[in-house]
Amino acid sequence: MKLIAQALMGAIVGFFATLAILKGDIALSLARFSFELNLFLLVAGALLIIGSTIYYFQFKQAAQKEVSGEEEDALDDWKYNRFSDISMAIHATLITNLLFTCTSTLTEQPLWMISISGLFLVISLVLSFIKPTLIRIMYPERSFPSPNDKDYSKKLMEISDEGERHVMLQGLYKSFNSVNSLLMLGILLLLFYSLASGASQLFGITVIAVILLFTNIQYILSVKGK
Amino acid sequence: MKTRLKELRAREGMNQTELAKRAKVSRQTVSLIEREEFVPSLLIAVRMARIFNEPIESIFIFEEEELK
Repeated sequence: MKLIAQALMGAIVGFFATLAILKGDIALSLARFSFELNLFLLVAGALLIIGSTIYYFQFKQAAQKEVSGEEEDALDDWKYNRFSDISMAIHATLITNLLFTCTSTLTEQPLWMISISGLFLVISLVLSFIKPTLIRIMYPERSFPSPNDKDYSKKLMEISDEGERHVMLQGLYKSFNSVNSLLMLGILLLLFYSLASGASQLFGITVIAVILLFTNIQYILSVKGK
Repeated sequence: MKTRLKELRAREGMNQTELAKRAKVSRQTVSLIEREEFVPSLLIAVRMARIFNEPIESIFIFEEEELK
């Protein structure tokens, strides 16, 4: 897997580097396809909102079932997996609609398109806000912190047992490493895109570099001396 | 680490949810331990040993190599 990722990274970087060297004046501007891109994001955003909402109501309905014995374990297992699916769908919805709002605004789309993107973003934020309530439905006997609590993440970690923390740690560590590698790849891509298109992406590169620096220092400082 | 948790649970006619409640952990933790993907803390191991009235070492079995 690592080898494939490295080969893919090499291929992408190589492609853009060659392109930049051979055709320094090429305009790799997304502006030419901006309407189609926004239309694609509109459809994707709408589908994700519909999918997340259907999952949400399916989950609420299933959570009300009263079962016992092996069926109780199977239902709990289903709820746990479905909650993960809902979380993934809501994250994807929020990110897609944030991208949709940014592209529709920056590429000066018609007002109706910008309005829809704004509306989709608000719906995504509402979905993100109601997602934590599902944990209370899943585990009614446990006293979870309120989603409005400013220390929500910290308190959620405290209320989790050692098995749950073990699973979270594995996932977070894997994700942390992926984010590091992907953001570095992102910097390289932006560099070659800047060279190939002539449109400087220096601001974006700086922002990513600062985020990388901040998250890595934050991680080191939190494990240092413990 | 091998575990006899599933076998003991079946012997007592207990599901994972019931065991989790009695051991004061989540069902996911019980499931992780049964799948031998997680080694529980001493506290949870003692609680489980008491629930099944068995010594810890007969529930959680380590290979000789792991103890060296």
